[in-house]
Amino acid sequence: MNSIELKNVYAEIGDFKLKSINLLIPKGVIVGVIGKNGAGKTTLFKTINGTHLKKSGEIIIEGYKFTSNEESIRATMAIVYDFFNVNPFVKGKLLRKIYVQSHPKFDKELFDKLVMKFNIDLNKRIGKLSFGMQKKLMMIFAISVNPTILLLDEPLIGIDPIDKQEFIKIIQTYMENENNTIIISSHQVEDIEKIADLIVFLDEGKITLFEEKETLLDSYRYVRLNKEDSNINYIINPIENSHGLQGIVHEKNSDSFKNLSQRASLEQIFVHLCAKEVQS
Amino acid sequence: MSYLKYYNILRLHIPTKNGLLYVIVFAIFNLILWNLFFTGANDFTMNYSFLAIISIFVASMYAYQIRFNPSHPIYQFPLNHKDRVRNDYLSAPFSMVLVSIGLMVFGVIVVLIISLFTNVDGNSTEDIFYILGTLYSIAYLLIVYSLFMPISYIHSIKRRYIYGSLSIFVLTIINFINIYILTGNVFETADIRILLQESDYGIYIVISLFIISALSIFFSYDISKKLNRYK
Repeated sequence: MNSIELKNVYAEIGDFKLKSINLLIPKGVIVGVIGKNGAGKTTLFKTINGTHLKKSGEIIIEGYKFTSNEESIRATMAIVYDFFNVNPFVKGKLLRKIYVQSHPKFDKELFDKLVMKFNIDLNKRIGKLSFGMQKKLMMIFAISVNPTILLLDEPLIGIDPIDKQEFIKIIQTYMENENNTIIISSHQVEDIEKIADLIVFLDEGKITLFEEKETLLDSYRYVRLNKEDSNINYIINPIENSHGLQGIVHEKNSDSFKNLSQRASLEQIFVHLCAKEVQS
Repeated sequence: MSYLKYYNILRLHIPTKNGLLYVIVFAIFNLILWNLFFTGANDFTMNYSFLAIISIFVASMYAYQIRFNPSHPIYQFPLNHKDRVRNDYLSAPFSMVLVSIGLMVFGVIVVLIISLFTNVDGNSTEDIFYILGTLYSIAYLLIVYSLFMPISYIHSIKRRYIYGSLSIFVLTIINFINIYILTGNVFETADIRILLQESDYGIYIVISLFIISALSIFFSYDISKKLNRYK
């Protein structure tokens, strides 16, 4: 059974549209969603979370549909947004109390352990915490409800590098349970490259690529060439600079480049496959 | 989930201006309508009806903002659309009771303070209580509640104003029909509660209105659940 299935999903927020989204995400994987600003990452997360209602298509979470099993789906899924979506005048300890009262799967011990580890003051109003602290608190709440699906929308923004490593460790520990699934979006593509198993490229509300990370990284090579080089036609969406042209080439064409190419990073692949306007 | 737990989750809500104008407009229309039919001519009062109408529209605004804010914290808790609608419907009476208790406590304290400095011996006022009128007004407020709560789950601003205006029209018609039955004259301007007390038909009108209000609450709740349901 897949963890998440989206079949031909269309959704709209104002003028923005998610178009024909098809995703089959197995259990036990981390899916990295990469896209430009406004590509539809947050809309996709809200649609999967069943809070932004789709126009058409089918969403199946752990074998269930929202129409008949919303309560159990919400108990198995947690989401972290790129902003703190709770009243800033509320104190952390009240939020903890509400989770204890209202979320049957909330793990108080795990929560308290993580709060201690990250040195978060629950007696402070949430609005008084720094942005990084707020993000940490949101992540801790999300993980403490022991979800089998964790949706993380830009979770690592505003977190310092040391705490970021701690969080990546927490995510890796969470993923030791092979039934758990994470969908994570980030502008920091190198973070996604470190932790994701599957990669989704999203552009203007459409999925332009859905691939295993290793397969994707093995499929392209990064090259730099002179403008006069006869092989420049192989470069996908090349970028011109003072040294010549740079870009990615498909692995099957890489023989022509021999020592001139190197393994492309996820960021390079994303830039050259999706951000076509960089050409100009 | 019990309402108190739900109420605690509502404390995580960040109120916005979304839907505020609609709430103000239709709360004012309802207060005007109440004063036209329930207090007689040229007499604007603020009694329990004021509290009830404000509670209904605050509950409606919260329901609207929760329903159409996909990142609302309420969706981080294992609730389904039925739980949310049920608790949204409980919000209005709950907030009305809470505010009433608060006002009563405040009133008692103020009276106690005044009595410390004033000779209150022999000072009393006699409030007239109309049992039929009070029952009628409760049934009427329940109809207001059942008409306006489902509109909380409609996203389109245009449709919200159209249904809100239609609801005001329905309430006006109900009042005119009852006044006509009681007096034989549609444009009678006396307080409907006094008319009910004085008319032989008063008791039947009150019973009828209670039946209508019970049915309207039932249908309203059902429509709200359908509007809130995941499609």
